[in-house]
Amino acid sequence: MGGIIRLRNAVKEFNDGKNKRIRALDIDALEIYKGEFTVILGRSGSGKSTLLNVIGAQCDLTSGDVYFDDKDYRSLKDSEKALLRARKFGYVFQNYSLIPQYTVYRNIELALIIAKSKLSGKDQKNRINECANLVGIDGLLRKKAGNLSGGEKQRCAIARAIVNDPEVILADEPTGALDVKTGEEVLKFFQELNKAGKTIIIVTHNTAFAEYADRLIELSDGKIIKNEKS
Amino acid sequence: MNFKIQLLLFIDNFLKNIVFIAMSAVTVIMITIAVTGFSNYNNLAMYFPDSFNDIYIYRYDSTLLDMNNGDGYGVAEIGYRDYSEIMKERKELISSSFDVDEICFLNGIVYLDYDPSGKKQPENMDFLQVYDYGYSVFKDISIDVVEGRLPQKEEVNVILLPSSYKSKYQCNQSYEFYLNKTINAYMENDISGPRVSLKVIGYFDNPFLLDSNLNVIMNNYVGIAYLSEDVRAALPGFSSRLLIKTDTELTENELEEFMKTLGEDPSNFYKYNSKYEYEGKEYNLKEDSDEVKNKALLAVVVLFIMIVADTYLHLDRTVGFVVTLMKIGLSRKAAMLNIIFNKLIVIIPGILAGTIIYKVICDSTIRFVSGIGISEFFWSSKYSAIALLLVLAGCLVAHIPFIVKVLSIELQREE
Repeated sequence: MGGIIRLRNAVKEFNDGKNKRIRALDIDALEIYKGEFTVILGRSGSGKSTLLNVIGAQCDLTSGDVYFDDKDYRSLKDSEKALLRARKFGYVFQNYSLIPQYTVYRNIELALIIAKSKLSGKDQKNRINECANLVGIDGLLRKKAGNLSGGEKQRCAIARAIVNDPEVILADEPTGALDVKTGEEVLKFFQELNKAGKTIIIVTHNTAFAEYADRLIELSDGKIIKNEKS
Repeated sequence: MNFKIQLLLFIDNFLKNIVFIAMSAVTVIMITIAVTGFSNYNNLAMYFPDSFNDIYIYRYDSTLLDMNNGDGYGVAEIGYRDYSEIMKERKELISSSFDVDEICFLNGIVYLDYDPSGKKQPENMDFLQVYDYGYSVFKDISIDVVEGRLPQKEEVNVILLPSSYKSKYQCNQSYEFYLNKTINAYMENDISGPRVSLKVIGYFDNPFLLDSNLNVIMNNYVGIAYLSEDVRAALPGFSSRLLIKTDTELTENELEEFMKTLGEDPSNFYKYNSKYEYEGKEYNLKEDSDEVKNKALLAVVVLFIMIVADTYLHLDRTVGFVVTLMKIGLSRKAAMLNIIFNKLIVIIPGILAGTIIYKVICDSTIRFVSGIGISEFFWSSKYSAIALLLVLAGCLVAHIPFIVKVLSIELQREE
């Protein structure tokens, strides 16, 4: 059985602003399977965030293919990719990417709105409460996101990421802005989500994450130098 | 378009939105006032030509007409006085003042068929004024026709001077329809006179736009337009009920002769001059109008600057907001549409509010509630429509940097 996410001859290049092309990603083949807890390691500039963004349909490949559930991203229109991002993936960012002037509730609700959730108003409310409860921020729902601590913000971001019940959680340095203790708590959330059947892909430079991983991928200069299943 | 996001954006920017709505409203009011010269009738000057070759004469202290003055008083007056007396009085006054072959009142419609200068003899020179009607007045037309006389011609060329809210559409549809219906109803009552059909050969959108319209339409005529009471009140020193526009080729001497043919003493007439003195105070119509024009321009510029400034000052925040939405699943196109639409839903209510405020303040509420359909009401506010387009265009232009920015976003680069 093939992986839920597959990359083939995946190349992503950027222009450095001086008409010089920089190859940020150059992967011959990669498969990530459903339910796996994958950790992508690498130093800064190794291409790990680019890989996550390619997987999460946040940016297009320069060449090559990427598939989700055998669906070729190249065959998808912008709006279809947007819907894929909204429904199939839950994204957690290092800088949280919350709307600071909105309440926690509203931030989580936004993901439902954008995914054009078919839940009724009451069910949406229940779902938001459920997710907030899961990550321990149910008492903060009326607070503005901008007034939360780093750990609370990341929990809010996780709640937003899971509110649409996505198949895959993509996290880009999710503990990068947190202290060690809070970072461990956040990691435990991901473990619990993984146990609940979610595919987790975390990008980090912190090698300590390796112990949580089912699959460990290490990147250097955009290439995979290690791809191990533990 | 995601309307829930629209709502969130609107609430998020509520105070700012209120400011924009108010500013848009003010802009529309200012533009409309500047163009129509409604709030300050000194603005009439803006419709007067700069050239002195165009000579306007205000007939001094006439008691000719006293109804249909542009603010619904005509309608009210019917309730206070015996209308047939008013018509009789007017007929006598007009007959005594002008060498008129035919006079016909159609509830304030004055039909004149005359050759006052003796120089200009256009064929079929029929001049019919339709001045300031509401539909409520039309209902009474058939009564009034009986009081007057129908023109003794088979076809009467009609120039319509409806009030400001009467659109071209209304002129062609409603006026012609009602007038013909009235005339024919009269004929069916077996009252003597040939069958008459009215042919609309021109119309004025606004009786206050006298110059621009009269210049075109009356180029070959010597015509008369009745000034409303408000206009007269706003022209201190000119208590005239009549504004007589002569052909531009007439010299002052010719003009005096023309006055005499009307049986009027030329000394009772004032020449138009942009500068005049009244009770020791000097007025300058041209400057007054320029001032209002400048204010209107200023309002537009301020609004435009506000939109541009808002776009630039909040570019990062707005783009950040959009990028966040795009990261969690909003498409690029939807993100852009949402932001731009959000601006429009702020500005459009402002424009509508401005239009309504303008109409309520400057036009008669009586007429507004007495039968003018809402679509005609807005359709006729063509200057408001122009203002609307200007503001919308400004809004879109101001958003170009935002659109360019969003189009160039690569989500990963924002990390």
